Amino acid sequence: MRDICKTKCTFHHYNILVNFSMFSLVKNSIINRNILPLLLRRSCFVTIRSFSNTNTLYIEEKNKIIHEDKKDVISPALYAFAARMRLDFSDPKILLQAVTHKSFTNTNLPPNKRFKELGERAIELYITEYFHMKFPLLHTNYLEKIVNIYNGIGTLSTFGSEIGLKYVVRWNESTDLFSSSVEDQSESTDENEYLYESRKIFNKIGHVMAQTVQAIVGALYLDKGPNSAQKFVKDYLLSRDLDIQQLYDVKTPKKDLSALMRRLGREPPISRLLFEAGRLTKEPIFVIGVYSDTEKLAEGFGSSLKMAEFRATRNALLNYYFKEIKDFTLPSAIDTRQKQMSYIPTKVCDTPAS
Amino acid sequence: MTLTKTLIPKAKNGVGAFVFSCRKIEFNYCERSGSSYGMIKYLQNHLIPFAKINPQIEIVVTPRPSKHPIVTGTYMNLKQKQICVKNKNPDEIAEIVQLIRDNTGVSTKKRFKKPVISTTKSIRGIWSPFHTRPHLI
Repeated sequence: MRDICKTKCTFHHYNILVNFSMFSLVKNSIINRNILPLLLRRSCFVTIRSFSNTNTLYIEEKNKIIHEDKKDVISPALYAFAARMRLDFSDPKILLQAVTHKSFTNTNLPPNKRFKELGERAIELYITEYFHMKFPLLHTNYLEKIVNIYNGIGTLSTFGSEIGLKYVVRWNESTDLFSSSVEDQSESTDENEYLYESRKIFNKIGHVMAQTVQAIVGALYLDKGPNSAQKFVKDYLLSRDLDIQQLYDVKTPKKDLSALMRRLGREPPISRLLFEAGRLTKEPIFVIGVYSDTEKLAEGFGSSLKMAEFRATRNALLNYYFKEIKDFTLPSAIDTRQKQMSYIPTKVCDTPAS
Repeated sequence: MTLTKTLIPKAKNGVGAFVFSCRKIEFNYCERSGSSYGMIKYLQNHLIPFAKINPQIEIVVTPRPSKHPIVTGTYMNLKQKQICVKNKNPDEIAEIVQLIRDNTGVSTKKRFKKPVISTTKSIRGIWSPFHTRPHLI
């Protein structure tokens, strides 16, 4: 049994964890006789976890085992995680460092803070660049909000729990390292509850997971280069679906639309009633279209004329500012001279800051 | 009211990269009972090739004395699926493990009632009486 404890760790490990009892009733149990030699022959790393606690001799053995236990051992869960996310670093210790939070002291590795700083900036860059190109006419404050959503603790911790990061991060729950603002943010209104995957994203493990995601991106940037980090951000974070138009918050759309038409040098907007039903009943419907000299900008429905006009003007503003570009080249994708020659930049946004 | 503090983009698995849904498979067997015989043969012969092909799944093997052998899959939505493989051949167990591997944690009942899950409600839009052509004689 001792020889098995000292099994050498090789580079390519299996994701197998074998539990066997220290003092099993059957001396030559099937697992000891058949499986372990197979594993040893392939120089697998076998984790020992005993499950029977009744034997007193076992307890002595267990205490001895703990002293021989190595620090910074890469668990099968971490190997499975690396394979799942298709991360292959040049040194497995890099990944181990990236998932080590600073609160975890039982290690010889430095924590993931440095990776996190780099990764956070890299994520911000790639997400900002993407939305900058995708929505060329968007106000800057909405662009900022979008980037904060994607790079925020909510998204990153939800993403972390979706990829199984909870079982891979190395951290310790200690109150002094986490600020009291964590508890303040944990309240969530009921109307927004459906937007959460689970309600427990703003607690400590959420913070740790968000930092770990940023650290992994940072580690990828350092180890494999910026293209690799960009691919990670694009594959996992930018593929997430966010309804941008939900963010639009406008109090006086009619006024804003008039100002916009004036700025663009077009005819002032006029609302025209397109369809209506049940005007004198309890539930009328009006459909109003907003026109700029025979060109229909947008239409909106409502149970009163004012409401319909509000919706119509708001939709007109949305159609303009939130216009989406489908095909574009990201500036960070220009890495050869040929691409540099053929790159056509988009028109710079002329929406004034609000 | 803006919802920036609480808005979280929805995950779309497969659009960018695919995150494999089965996180961990746990095998429990008994060393002495007869119902575990097939399971033991599976563990000896078929398990390691399976683990090689699926490096993204964490595999745990634990003896569980005096109980029937079971295979438990843990998924990314924190749900688990358990199948008892008592008195089964290694080939049948291999099929069952493949089933557990291919599964997501979504319950079969839910999946049966709502086979299509989509963020877009309809392709051609919801019908509106105001946008149909009026009937002409």
